[in-house]
Amino acid sequence: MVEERIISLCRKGKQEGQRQLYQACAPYVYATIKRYIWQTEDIKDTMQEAFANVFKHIKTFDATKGTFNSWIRKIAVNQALMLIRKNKQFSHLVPLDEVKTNTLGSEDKYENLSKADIEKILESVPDGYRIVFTMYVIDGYDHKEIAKLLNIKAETSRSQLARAKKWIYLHLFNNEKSKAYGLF
Amino acid sequence: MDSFDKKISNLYDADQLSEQLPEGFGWEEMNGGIYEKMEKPKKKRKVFFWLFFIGSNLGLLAALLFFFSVKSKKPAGPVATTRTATVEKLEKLNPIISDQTPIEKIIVPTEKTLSNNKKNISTFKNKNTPTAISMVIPAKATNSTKTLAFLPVTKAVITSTKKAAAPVIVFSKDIFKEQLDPDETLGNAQNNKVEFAKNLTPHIYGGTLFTSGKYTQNQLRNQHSKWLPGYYTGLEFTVLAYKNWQLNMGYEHKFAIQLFDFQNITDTIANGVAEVLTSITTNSLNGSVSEIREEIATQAVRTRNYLNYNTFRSHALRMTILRNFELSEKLSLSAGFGGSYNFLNRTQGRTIGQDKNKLDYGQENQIYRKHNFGLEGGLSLAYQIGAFSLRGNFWIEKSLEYSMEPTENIRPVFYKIGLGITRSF
Repeated sequence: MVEERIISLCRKGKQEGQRQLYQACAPYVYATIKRYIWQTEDIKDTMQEAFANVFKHIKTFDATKGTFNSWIRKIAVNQALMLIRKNKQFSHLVPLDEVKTNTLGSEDKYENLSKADIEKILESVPDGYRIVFTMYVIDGYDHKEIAKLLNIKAETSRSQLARAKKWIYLHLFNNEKSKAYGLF
Repeated sequence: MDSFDKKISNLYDADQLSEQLPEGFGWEEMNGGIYEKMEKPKKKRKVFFWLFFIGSNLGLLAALLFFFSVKSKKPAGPVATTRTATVEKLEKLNPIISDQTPIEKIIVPTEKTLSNNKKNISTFKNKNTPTAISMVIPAKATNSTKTLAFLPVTKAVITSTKKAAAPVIVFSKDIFKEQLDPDETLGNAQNNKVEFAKNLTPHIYGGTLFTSGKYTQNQLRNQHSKWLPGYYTGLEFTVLAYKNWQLNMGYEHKFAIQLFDFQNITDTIANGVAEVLTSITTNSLNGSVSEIREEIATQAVRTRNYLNYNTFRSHALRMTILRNFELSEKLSLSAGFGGSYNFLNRTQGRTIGQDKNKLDYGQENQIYRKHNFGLEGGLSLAYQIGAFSLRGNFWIEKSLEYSMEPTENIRPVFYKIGLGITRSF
């Protein structure tokens, strides 16, 4: 949690407050952005943009509407999505026909899953699915919010999420002979 | 959220506080960039939008300026006929007009200049001019001859004829004729000016739209992609004219279909990463075994056997400049160039085959950009029939930016071949 004192210093535009805020929140912001962007330089640039926005708009932060962490996370996600849109990384995806995939693992269910396992799988998930999946499951956006941020319909968000999950299930447990999904 | 979602969410929630910043992300390394971004306003690189926006506004401003300047100088009544009649009337007043000393230049002022003219009355060259003239025709000597063309001559003449009996009219017949030459005042003089078109000459056109354009990054898809002929139709108006040049503005609608025809197309794609055991080493001393595992990319084989078509619709605002060449009395050729702003581009993907509608393109999932700019050029051959002219048009439009998100880009070229009809007023 970020101390109210630090937020107050930032509201006054004090550089010392900004430094403390950065040190308190940077790991969290970094982890958030890294879920959407993988290139180090892009992460750095996005982090700088995100913190520039945080410092500029910190006067608009209202503690009664949510925690500071959720506010700063929304800024970080928005900034990451802007870069993705700019680089046109958002995919339109379609299922593949008759895919034969290598076996990755056993039928162990997800009780033993680690974050590293998930991240490894997410690296292979096409961008469009991954972004919706990350926003919904990890960052806690609902479909309406996702639809608004990605300029798509809520139904599209739901279908993208379903496909993302199918992809992840298939690659985590690979016990289906059903279709995989991929870039057209 | 199902249990799988919750599991993943918990994994990340538990881990988020233990995240460590990598090297290069400390405050010292980052604060310079942060403050730079706080100070620097974001540059919007919408160059074409602003070029088009500024160009349109300049065009509109120029049109309005010309429109109002011409309107303010225009005669109130039917100018040409009245002037001829006026000259004839004045000729009948021969005794009054002929024996006077010519005045080189005469201008009849508007109401606004009446007061100013009073002090200029003394500059009349004719010494016989009585002082009463200021009450009859307020006038002044001037070197300008062109202004007269736009003045309310009818009113001036009525005034002068009313007072014709008085031996005070000092107009020279020759000079007056020169001033009222209708050719100069209405014809040639106006032809040499850029003018806001008095009547917005409409041009309705349409025809067959041929399209080309391929993806820059997906060569396999290019092999199986083709555009079917579509149609285009539009309405434009001439808003400015200068000699043989015209500035036209209007609206255009385009429709085309792009096909992807996959008949038993098989290829392989990367679909994941797998950890594979690559070697096993046994220690001969203690018998222990060590394994080396490597991550390798896995591939999937896919077979596609379907036909997909995407309908493409666009609405566009056009602005073109045309140069007309008269080939004969009735036949003319126009060459032109211009730009267009395509908006509300709509895509609807349909798949016919074993898996219907597998391509997820639609209103909310566009295959093309929703709006873009285009440059175009072309030729029109026109044949005049009365007030109408039939046109044969051939235009080419190059899209400046179309996108197939995320990475595949397509910039179609439209070939428009069709007919049009223009009504002249």
